[in-house]
Amino acid sequence: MKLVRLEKVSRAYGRTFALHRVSTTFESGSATALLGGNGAGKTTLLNILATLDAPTQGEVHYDALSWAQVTRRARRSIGWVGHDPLLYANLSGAENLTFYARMYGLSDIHDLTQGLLERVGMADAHDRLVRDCSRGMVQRLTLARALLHDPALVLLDEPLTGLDRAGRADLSKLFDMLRSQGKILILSTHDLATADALCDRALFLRRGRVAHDTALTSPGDLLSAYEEYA
Amino acid sequence: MPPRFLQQTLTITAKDLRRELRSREVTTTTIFFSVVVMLVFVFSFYRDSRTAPLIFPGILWVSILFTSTLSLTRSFADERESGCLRALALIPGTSVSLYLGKLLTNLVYILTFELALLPLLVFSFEVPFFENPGAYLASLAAGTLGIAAIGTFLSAMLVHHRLRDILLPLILYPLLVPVLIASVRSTQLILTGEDLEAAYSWIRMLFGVDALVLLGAPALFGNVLSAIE
Repeated sequence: MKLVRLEKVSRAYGRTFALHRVSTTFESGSATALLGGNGAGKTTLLNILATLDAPTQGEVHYDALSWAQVTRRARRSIGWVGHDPLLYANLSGAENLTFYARMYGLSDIHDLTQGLLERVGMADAHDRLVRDCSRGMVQRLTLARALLHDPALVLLDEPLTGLDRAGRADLSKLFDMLRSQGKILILSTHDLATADALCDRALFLRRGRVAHDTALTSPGDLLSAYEEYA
Repeated sequence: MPPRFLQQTLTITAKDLRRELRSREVTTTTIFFSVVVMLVFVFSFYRDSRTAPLIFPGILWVSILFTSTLSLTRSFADERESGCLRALALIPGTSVSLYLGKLLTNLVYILTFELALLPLLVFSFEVPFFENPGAYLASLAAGTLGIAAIGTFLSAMLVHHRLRDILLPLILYPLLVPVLIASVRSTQLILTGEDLEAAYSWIRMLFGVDALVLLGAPALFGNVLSAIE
């Protein structure tokens, strides 16, 4: 997947618009931070991009495929980190990853899961039940689950929740690697410093509309923009 | 290499059974409950071996029905509590395999407590089980498959409903009336040995209903999954 394009996308719940005529593009190898206050529409936008919610108006294209075509045939190319970890509490981290790997029909599952667990800093706790893991450890496992099937589009809703400084550093390395592989990364966050460090673009949403869209070229860009647009 | 959906089905069942082996949540509850129900029925209704064929089929199937409801209500509990339905929905082809995997899991649970229940009932009612073991097992298999197939489907439909534990039996039991009538009649006919051909007709009808549900439910399960994900 090289390009995701939104054209006048709206999502209404009754008479309230969570998103209103949003048009933008996300390119391969880019990392975009979705920013805005509570209720700005960040999660709704991510849900629509993940095909977990349908736009009420407008169109979303993933390269040449429409939203409906991706929903039916190409959801595999999406990696999703939401508010919930989407992990089974009574299984260990390694068992969860193995389960999802089998569901995706992946091969070399043992090497794949071990590699991912190492990459997210969970190799030592791979056999610990998820219910016994800390919030930060669960978040690391969630990242591993989302990247397991090598998705082209990675959507992360508040991925920094519960991560300590080391976790954020690991995430930064992971982002660099994913960008170099040509993935499209989109994350929503309220953590400006980390968004500044991880992303090369910021998309500000306010009341469901795009308030500002800017490239992040130097440290500190984000803070000044946030004060003005979020 | 097995077909993809078969691999997914077995993966889901294996995951559920692994979890159950750790917690023993469903099996302990269902075996305990089925034995208690059976004991209450035996002490309430059993008079002598002459009347046993009249009451044994009803007691057997009511025990199976009540106890099955316990495991059926837990079918998607893990997915509901962890939100994993969303992650599964993003995996292509999961709708059929999720249904079949959960159905298989429920069958294992139901057959497990039936293994505990049946010998106790057969012994208590002095039922001549070994005169026609094949017919008994066919009747049991067909009825159990019907209960599990319809129950698993309804359990998914109600997974996010606040009153799911109450609604499941309310909706499930009326839908299971044909399955229960056929199961009770076939068991009764086998037990009395009066008309084995009629018993096999009921069993064939049961398998027919099972086949219809097994064709229809996976086909419709995609819509259920997209509504509940």
